[in-house]
This record gives sequence, structure tokens and C-alpha cells, in this order.
Amino acid sequence: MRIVKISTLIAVSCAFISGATLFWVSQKVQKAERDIARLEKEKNSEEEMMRVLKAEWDYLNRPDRLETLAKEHLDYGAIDSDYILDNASLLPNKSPLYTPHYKHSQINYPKEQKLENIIENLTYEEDKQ
Amino acid sequence: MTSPFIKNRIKIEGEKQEAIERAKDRIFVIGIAFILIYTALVVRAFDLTVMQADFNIQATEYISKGKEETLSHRADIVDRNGVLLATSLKTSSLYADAPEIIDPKNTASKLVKLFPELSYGSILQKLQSNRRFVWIRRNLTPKQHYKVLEIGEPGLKFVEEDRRVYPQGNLAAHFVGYGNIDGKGLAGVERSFNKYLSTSNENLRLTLDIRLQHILRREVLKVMEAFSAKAGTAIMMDVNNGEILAAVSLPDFDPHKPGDAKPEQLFNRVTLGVYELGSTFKIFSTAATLEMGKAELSTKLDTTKPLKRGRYTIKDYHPEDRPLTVPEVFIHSSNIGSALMGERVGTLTLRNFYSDLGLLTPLDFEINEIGTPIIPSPWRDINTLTASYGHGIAVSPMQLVSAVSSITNGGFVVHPNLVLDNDNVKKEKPDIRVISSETAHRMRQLLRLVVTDGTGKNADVKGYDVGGKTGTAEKPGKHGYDKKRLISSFIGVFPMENPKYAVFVMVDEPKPNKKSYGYATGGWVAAPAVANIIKSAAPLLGITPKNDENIAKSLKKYININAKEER
Repeated sequence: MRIVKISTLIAVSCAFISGATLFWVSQKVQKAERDIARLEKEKNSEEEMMRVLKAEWDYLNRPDRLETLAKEHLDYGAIDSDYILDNASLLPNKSPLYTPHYKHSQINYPKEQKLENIIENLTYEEDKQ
Repeated sequence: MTSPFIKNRIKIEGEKQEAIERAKDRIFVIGIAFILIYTALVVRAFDLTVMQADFNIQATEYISKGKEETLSHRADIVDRNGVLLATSLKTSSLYADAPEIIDPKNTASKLVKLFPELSYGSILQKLQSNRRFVWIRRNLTPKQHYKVLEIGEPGLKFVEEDRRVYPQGNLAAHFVGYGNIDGKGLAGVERSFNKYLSTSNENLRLTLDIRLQHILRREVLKVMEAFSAKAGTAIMMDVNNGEILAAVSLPDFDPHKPGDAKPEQLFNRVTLGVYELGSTFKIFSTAATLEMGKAELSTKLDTTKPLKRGRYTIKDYHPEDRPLTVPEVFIHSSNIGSALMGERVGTLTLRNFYSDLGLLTPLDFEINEIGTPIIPSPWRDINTLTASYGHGIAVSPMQLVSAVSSITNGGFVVHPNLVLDNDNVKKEKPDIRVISSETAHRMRQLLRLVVTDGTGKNADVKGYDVGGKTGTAEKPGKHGYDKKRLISSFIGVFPMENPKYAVFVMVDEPKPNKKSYGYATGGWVAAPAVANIIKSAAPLLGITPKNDENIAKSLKKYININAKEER
């Protein structure tokens, strides 16, 4: 008894192979989607972190804080208009070189209020009610 | 009994047998196909239930969260150098799903311990309310979030929310503004650009520079302390394109807690407050006089006795016993002289001139807190005389600064602006003129003369060629003007050769002190503050100091230097 025609066999095996391939591809796609979602989440959390760090950076670089720190740790002040020349040749030939000297060899930064604490201390009108 | 199949088999022969063979083949193929399909189903079921069981839940979560998080931030507000003035950070907020709360009493007492500002009763009420969503506390820190999780109550849930943070705090609070807890802007740019900020992804860049902002704030605070003043204001503006580089109104407030601020802290004195600013208005009346050709520099005005018009008398604080030339009237700030000039110009002309300078209508500016100037109504001839020295007319400080900028930049009308136009940083001057370039030059000389020889000597900064005008006005009280309550101001412009920046300082109710020899006038209170501001700001702005000859030199012949010293 002739069991199956060759053509049928080929068709069946084609169907099987394509089915298997499809399954394999779909598995790959799903894995890729999971990867994308994970990366997306990581990216978002990194971006959120960057926002927080940038806010903190600008918070710590407030001009009044920098001014206080500069007064405390540096010997520099605002430049007087007498010290600004528009022509370098006006300088005397043997100008004494300025040697910086540091008052504080080790800088102890003051304990700063963290941005987190600011958020913690926020009050809202609705809380008061 | 024979099997029916056998019976059949016997019958099947010949051509029919072939058909049966074919049917058998088909059954075989279909059988195989079913086996394959069921195998596939089994494999797929195994895959879904066992292999991907975990991932699927997480993946849907990832995907939905990923989509949610993009685009959800309110746009940042930055200064002209990109420093953050306002930004949004994600924080978690706590709500209760009341039906899911297992032990409301215990939970409420634990929550109150965590957040002392909440009351036990109201929390308990919320937890027993049977509502699926009740806010408990919004914008928690990570630490608080963790502690709430420790309570272990399944009905306490979190949502992620945006929290508006102002890293610069009070520094530019009146202009950046603030919002409510849902992120809607209630003041400043936060309010006027609410739609842009909530829909756009791009930063909103302002013309402010926080370094200059800090300098202005520092100096105004210093003056307010030295003279125990009630309030103070300062503005720095680019006279050529109208960009507001810095503007402060003190006392100010913390934009994180606008609910805690008093009304006088929230009040924007720069644009919303209107004040009779006094002698600084002599800049406008003098410019009008020179522009209309109603007087020469050498014209002498009789300032020896009080000026009587109808039932009004105009006096000088420190009358000179001789007629004064126009530059002398200006540098000694004589009210009589200015009133006489205003009279020469005439009511209609002076009024139109003030109108061209934008002093009679509310300012066109990018925030909503704009004050309406108070102008005489009806405007009689006597009002022209008083308006010539800044009385009987009240404008906002920002209006005064832009009008002075229009005079000193060569005579072109400028409008103040707060939002930086990136594509148009080097704007060309607008071509609407209020005065000719000749008059503008004369005015620059006169303003410089005030600082070299007049009431504004305290505003001088070596190398930066400062010009300006003092203003001291009495505040209207219950019975006419109150001599004890002053508004002292100084408008400075530098460098006078080719003006770039205008600096205005106004102090509300300064009390005289020993250092100022008992004076609380603009020349003693505000002028030194302007000098300090210019001293600190000019190097930041990159202006090279020059020691050129004084542009006001040619005017010295019109003033009597032996005349009594006055400030």
C-alpha cells in the first residue's frame, strides 16, 4: 500500500518547518520585546536619576552658597576695575608673580541640606485643613 | 456471523479499491495533521503557562510603565545660561483603598506617627469611608515610602506623581512663580505659560541670569537692613533689547511653600505695584523740553521762590537762591525748575510724550501680575506741572526702567521681555523713536552729570561711567503727603558713552541712619546700592572698564560748581 504521496509529504513537512520557524521567531520577538521594555524602564529610571542629580547640582550651586563658600575658603574677591587693562603691554616688565597660598589645606564642606529634606519639609495647604 | 467489514472487503475490487486506498491515505494525513496541531498546542500551552509565566506579567508592566513615563513631565524653566529655576521630579503619593484596609485604627495611628501634621481623626474617617481612592499624603520621600510599606497594610497604595521643585528657592520667586499641588501654575511664568509648560517637552528659557539676580537681591537686602526699610525692589535691564537680566521684589517667599507666605511677600512690587516715583520722572520732562526745543541748556529758570499756580504751591526741599540753568535744575533735582519746564512743554505734548514712553497704560509683559498706572483724571494743567517731577502719577518700577531705557539707548522704544528668544539673541533695535539721537545724547550727558556733580555722586563706579537720576517721593498718607514715609530710588545706566544696562533700585520707607547723616533720600539710600550692583555685575557682563574723558565735560560750563553742595 502506497502510504503518502511525495508531494503531500513535502507539503506536510513544509507546514511543520514553517510552523516551527514561526514559533521560534515569535519566541525571539517576545524576548526582544521584553528586552526593550526592560531597557526602556532602565532608561527612564536613569533619566529620572539625571533629573534629580541636575536639580541637586543646581541647588548646590546656588550663587549665595558659592559666595559663602568662596568667602570662607578662597582668598579671591571681586576684581576692581583698576586691575583690568585692555592692553597687556601696559604691564611692568618684571611683574611679581602671584603665588597662591591656601588658607585651608583641607576643605571641610559644611553639611548641606539635601534636596530630599526640602521635599520632606514641604507643607501643603490641604494638609493644614 | 461474519463481520460487515469482511463483507465489504469482498465487495471492493477493481476501480473502487483505488478510491478506498485514497481515502485511507487521507485519513492518515489528517491524523498526522491533528497530531501535529495538538502537539503544537501542548507546546504552546507549556510555553505560556510555564516558560513565560513570570515574564508576561512583568513585560506588560514594563511596557505600560514605559509608555506612561515618557512625555509626562511638566517642562523645566531655566535661566538664560540653562540653570534650573523650576523642574519636576517624580515622587510617590500615598492613597488608601478604603475597603481593602484590614485594621483602620491601627493603620491610622501608625500613619499619624509617620506624618505628625495629619490628624488621627481625619485619617480614620478616610480609612473607613468605603471609598476606593482617598489621598492620605502626597509627594513622599523614598524614606517615607519605605516606612509606609513597613506598616504592611494592603489597602495603602501609591501612585507616582510629579513634584515641582525650585532649586533656586526664593531667588526669582516672583517671576518664576509657583503652582498648586496638581502642578497648575498660579503665579509668574508658571501661570502665564501654564499651557506651554504642561504640553511642551522643551525647556522655557528666561532672560534672567541667576548670578545677577543674586547680586541684586543681596544688595537690596543689605540696604533694607541698613535703613530698616519695609520693602525693596531692583531691576536690571538691557537697554537695547529690553531683556530683563534680573529683577527682585523683597520681601520674597519660598515657592515651595507659598501657603506660608504673607500677602506682602507674595506681592510683586516690580510689575504689579505702582508708586509715585518722584524725581526720576524729571528725566522724561527734561527730555521732552529739549526735544521740543522749549529750552536751551543755558536757559535760566527762576527757582528762587515757590511756584504758585491756582491754589497749589510747588516748593523745593533745598531751594537755591538764584535762577538755575537746565543742567542745574536736573542735577540738583529742583521741583520748581522741572515744573516750569513741564509748563513750557504744555499739557497735551507732555501727556503724549509720557504715553509714547508707555507710562500711561499697563505694561505689556509676559506675566499676569501687571499693575495699572494711576494717572490724573481729568488731567489738568496743574497735573502737568506735578507730573514733570513725578508726583500725582504712579507707575510700576518696570515701566520706569523701560521708559528710561528708551531715552538712553538713543531714543528707540524698548519693551521689557522675560522669555529668551533663542533664534533672535542679537535683536536689532526697534525703529520707533521717541526722541532724536541728539536729545538722547544730551540726556546721557545730563544723567552722567548727576553722578559726577549732582545728587547721585554715591552711584559712581570707577571705570564704568555710570549715569543716573535720584528719586525721593513722599508716600501719600491720610492727610496729604507724609514727610516721614519715603520711597527712595535711583535709576542708573552704564556705561554712559554707549549705554548697555539700566539698574534700578527702589527702597520703600527707609529710616535715616547715622551713616547717611540723617538722610533717607534716593542719593543716600538707593544710589550706593546701584553702585555696588554695578561693581559686582560689570565684570560678569564682560564690560571693559575705561577711564575715558567724561562725556558730561562739555556741560560743566552750564553749572556753577561753587554753588552749595546738595544731595
